[in-house]
Amino acid sequence: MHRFLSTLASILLLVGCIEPTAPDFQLEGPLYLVEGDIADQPGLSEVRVRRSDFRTVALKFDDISGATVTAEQRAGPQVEWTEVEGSPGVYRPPADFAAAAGQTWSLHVIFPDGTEAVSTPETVPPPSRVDAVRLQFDQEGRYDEDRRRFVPVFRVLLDSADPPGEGNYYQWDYRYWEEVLICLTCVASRYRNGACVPDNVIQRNRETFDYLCDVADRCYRKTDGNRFLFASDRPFDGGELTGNPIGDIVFERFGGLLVEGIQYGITAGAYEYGRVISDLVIGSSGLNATIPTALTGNLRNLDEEGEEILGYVRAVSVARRQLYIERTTATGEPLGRDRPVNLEPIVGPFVPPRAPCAGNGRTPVRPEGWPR
Amino acid sequence: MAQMNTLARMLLLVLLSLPLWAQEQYELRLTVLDVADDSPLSFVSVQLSPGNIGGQTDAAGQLTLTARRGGYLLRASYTGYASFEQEIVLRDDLEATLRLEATAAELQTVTVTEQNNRLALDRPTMGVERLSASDMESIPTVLGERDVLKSIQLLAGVASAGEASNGVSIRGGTIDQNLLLYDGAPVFTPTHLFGLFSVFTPDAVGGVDLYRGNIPARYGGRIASVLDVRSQAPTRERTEVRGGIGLVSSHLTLETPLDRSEKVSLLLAARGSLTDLVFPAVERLRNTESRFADATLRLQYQPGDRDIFSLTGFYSQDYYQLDLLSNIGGIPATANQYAYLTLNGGLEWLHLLDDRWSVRSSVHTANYTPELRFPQLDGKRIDFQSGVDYLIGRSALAYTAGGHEASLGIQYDRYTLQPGSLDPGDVSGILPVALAGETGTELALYAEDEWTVSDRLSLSGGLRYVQYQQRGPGERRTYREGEIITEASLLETVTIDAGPLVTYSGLEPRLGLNFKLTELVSLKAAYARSRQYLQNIYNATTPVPTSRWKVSDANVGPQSASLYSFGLARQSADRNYFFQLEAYYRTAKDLLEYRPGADFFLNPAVETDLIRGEGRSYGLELTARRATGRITGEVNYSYARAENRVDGPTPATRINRGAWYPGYFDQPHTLNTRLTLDEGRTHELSLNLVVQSNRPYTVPNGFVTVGDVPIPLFLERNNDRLPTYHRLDFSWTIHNLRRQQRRWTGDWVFTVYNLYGRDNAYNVFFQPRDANTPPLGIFSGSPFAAYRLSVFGAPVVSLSYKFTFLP
Repeated sequence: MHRFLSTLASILLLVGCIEPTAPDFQLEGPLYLVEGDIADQPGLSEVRVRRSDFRTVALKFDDISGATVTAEQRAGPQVEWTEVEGSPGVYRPPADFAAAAGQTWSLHVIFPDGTEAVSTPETVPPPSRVDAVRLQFDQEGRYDEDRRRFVPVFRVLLDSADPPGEGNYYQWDYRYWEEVLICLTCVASRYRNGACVPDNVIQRNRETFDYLCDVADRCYRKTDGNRFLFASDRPFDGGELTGNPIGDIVFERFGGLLVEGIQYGITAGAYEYGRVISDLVIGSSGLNATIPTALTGNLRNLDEEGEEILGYVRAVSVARRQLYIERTTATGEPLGRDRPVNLEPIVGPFVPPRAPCAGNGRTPVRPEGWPR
Repeated sequence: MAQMNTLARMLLLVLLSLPLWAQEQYELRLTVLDVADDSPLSFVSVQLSPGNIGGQTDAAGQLTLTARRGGYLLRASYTGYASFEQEIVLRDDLEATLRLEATAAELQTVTVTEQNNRLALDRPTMGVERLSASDMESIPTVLGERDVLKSIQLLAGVASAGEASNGVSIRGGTIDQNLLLYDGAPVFTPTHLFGLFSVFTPDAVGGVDLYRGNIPARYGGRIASVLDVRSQAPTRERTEVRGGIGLVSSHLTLETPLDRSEKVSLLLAARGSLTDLVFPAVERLRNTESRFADATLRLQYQPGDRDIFSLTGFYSQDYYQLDLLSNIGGIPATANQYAYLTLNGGLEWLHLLDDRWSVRSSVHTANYTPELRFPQLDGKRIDFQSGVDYLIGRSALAYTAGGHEASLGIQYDRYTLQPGSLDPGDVSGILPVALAGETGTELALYAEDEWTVSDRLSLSGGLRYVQYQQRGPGERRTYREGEIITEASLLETVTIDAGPLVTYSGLEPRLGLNFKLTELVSLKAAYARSRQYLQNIYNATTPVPTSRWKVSDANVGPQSASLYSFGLARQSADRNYFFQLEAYYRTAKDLLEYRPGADFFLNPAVETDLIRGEGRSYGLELTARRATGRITGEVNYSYARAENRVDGPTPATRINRGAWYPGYFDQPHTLNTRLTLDEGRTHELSLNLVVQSNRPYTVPNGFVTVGDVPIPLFLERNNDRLPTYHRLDFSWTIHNLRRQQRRWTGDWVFTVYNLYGRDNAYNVFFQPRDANTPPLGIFSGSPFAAYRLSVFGAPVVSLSYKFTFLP
């Protein structure tokens, strides 16, 4: 709706505009932020604990290591979560942990400075079902504001079912993996010793070099949809949703594409929280922008006089489905790169280094579901 | 009961005292001129009815008629010239200039030079503004369309959220706190294209009254203002076709008598948009559709001097489509489609009992149906429809004599809301959903009198008593007492088939005083109390056409407001200039605000997403006006503040931690200037200058990330303000360029909206930065980019052609 209105204003009348402007802030002091899920499937429960640092121009969050994180089931066991090695501030339960539908869980966090926070108990929603994820190709599927043209896209469509009953709430998301050959691009610089190093010669020419991935086999890149699509089952209680568009993927290159559609069953509280996020991200840009509102989560400081703690720890049921396709000339015409690949040339015995297959979603590990 | 007794006694007192009032005569001094060269027209027949008061103009084109206070139909006719006809109300001596045009090139215009100024100087009314069709004609607007809402935005105390606002804010109030009437029936979405144009058919609008101060007791149901728009009374003496061709839309109007005896006459005006023709030429818009249309009908029957019957109709429809893949409320769709339809009708009978007494009775209906459509991949479609059905019956007995202008009336409103129904059509998996309807009734009794006590003092008093009921069929939801209304605190839901579910009632006094310190200076004071039982809920700055309407019920009570006003009016000795100062203070209770994540789509219990607050607004409005001569103009300055407070028991039911915060239309300084140069024959030039503090908006207090997406963190609301808004508009009307007296005459209207291309901010919003965000260097270390949206960031030039044809 809001995007629609925005487009009306800026495009229909041909005289409106959207211009970048310097963002203003009225910053608050440091705040703890706790975000995560207690999931009904092993390996999907995770929480991230951070503290804001808005003192400098570079607004950032510091990951908090050394916190004590415990999941507490009402009238049930407590489960200690441990910090993930190599991922500071990220805590997970034992690998086999899975909450069951109907169980009520809360998360208790003791920060290193002694501050204690607890989340409002959430009951794990009943499991739901994803029957299929489908892709529908459209050569001119979406207008791209940056490229100022229609671009070819795969629409990600989800077929799912809602268990009959009262008040189910959902979040839909997707992610996809593609094989990548280029793992780094250096603008006006060369890749040396793990970084793009400015070079006076090529700086004058503003030349850009691409670097191949340093892998024995293949490098994959995962991209998260990050679509904040939330819904209640009021219009489809107990029914089947067919062809639900949950996002799109721009057709940039030929090759394999693995897509995973995800349906989270969430609580009413998480739905309200999600809608605030959705409004802030999607709904703020139009002629009739949603009124910005406080992101009131379900964490509370045990010391009522203590500082506010932000974030939400959800109890979720997760249903997923994957689809793999090969994108060929029969699919359509890909968007292509903005410029041709430009590898740093081999000069005599010098062979340009390769960039690691890491960061920005890249991994050499073959994703589950990718054909061998 | 005690209140009822008091009311009955007051009404009885008013009735018994009516015959005691003396009858008073007033003079109507007329000057009739030829519009071509302003030369006086002698021997023009002028008649006032009822009463058969009439005469002919002298060699200087002048005529003075004497009549008792009251409402009259003024007619002027002269062989070879278009006749003139208009309803007038004689409350005081009145001067008017009538400009008649030869029938071959007619353009009837009337300038009641003193009307607005006398209204302010002599009468105990405050905050009243009147715009005629000719006033609106000379105001430059976007794309050359005459526009009611854009015109009133040049008045003091009237603001909007910007160019694309679906309504106006009066003295800091929200948009749904204004009652918009078109020929007596309410209009729920007053704009096309999401706020860019008013829906009122341009050539059909005869006049507009805006009541933003002590609203007369005959009006009720909204707490900020009443905007009463009326269509023109059709001419009874000839057939006339008018039309216009513009960039966005074109319009056609027919005015004609329908019988030889000229008792029945018709006005039929229609407008249609042409935007669908433009879109295919633009690459991005090739899949976009947009259409709007509106039409006004007025059929008038005047069987004699004592009766006038009017049948009115109004139609407005919009349809838009944009091919965005979307999902609203969990319903998938391949595109966004919006359609909304307004169908209003009315029948009015004015019966003049004698020179002093008259009865005006009317019935009005309004039907508003907004619709969201969800087209599917396989060509099927899901429809979501809501609607308002509104019925009004009014009858008022009016008495005008002896320094009194009194009326006693009764009004019954019944509105039935359909909050939403989902029709899945042939689409499997989606359920048909129909939320329980809501019905409200308002029975209002009112009495009002405007009493000229002496040459210096006049008073107005009005009392409106309203009994509101939410009636079945409907649902009554009961929540645990003392707890916050949430799904969890719901105790029971009872379905009531018929009868009242809840009743609210109360008195709404309206008082005014005017004391003339000298012949040219008057002092004014007023008080008004009002209640609002029908409310629009929308979690945004302004409502959209699909925003949900809600009747007052046991959980969502009516809003109420009290307004105190004080003013000073002065006219210059030569009566060419008029100055006015008004100050006001308004308090409001039970304002609507929204819980974080409020979701009204198919929500059967919206009260769980609503929170209530209080408001206060105050301000000072200054007006300087020159309404006579070749150069006319107006300067309005307003200082206005509007603040709200919501202090609930939990963080989710508090805003800004329970402190007062700026309202959505808190715009402290507004300067509106209008200057018109009328060359008198062919050319009219007009300039508008608007300078105002822009709306408050909210800047983040930091950010959080969800997944890897940064989300702006807002801990307080309206903590900053958009940059100052200013704009200059220009219009140039060339009337009947060849100045030939032909059956076909045409006007060219050239307008430039936003002459110097000011890029006024409509909204500033934040988007997460990603790989596609351009590295502009202005976003600094912010995790999100900020963008400023402006609707008209460049001059909007338009040329339109309007014609009049006399078959």
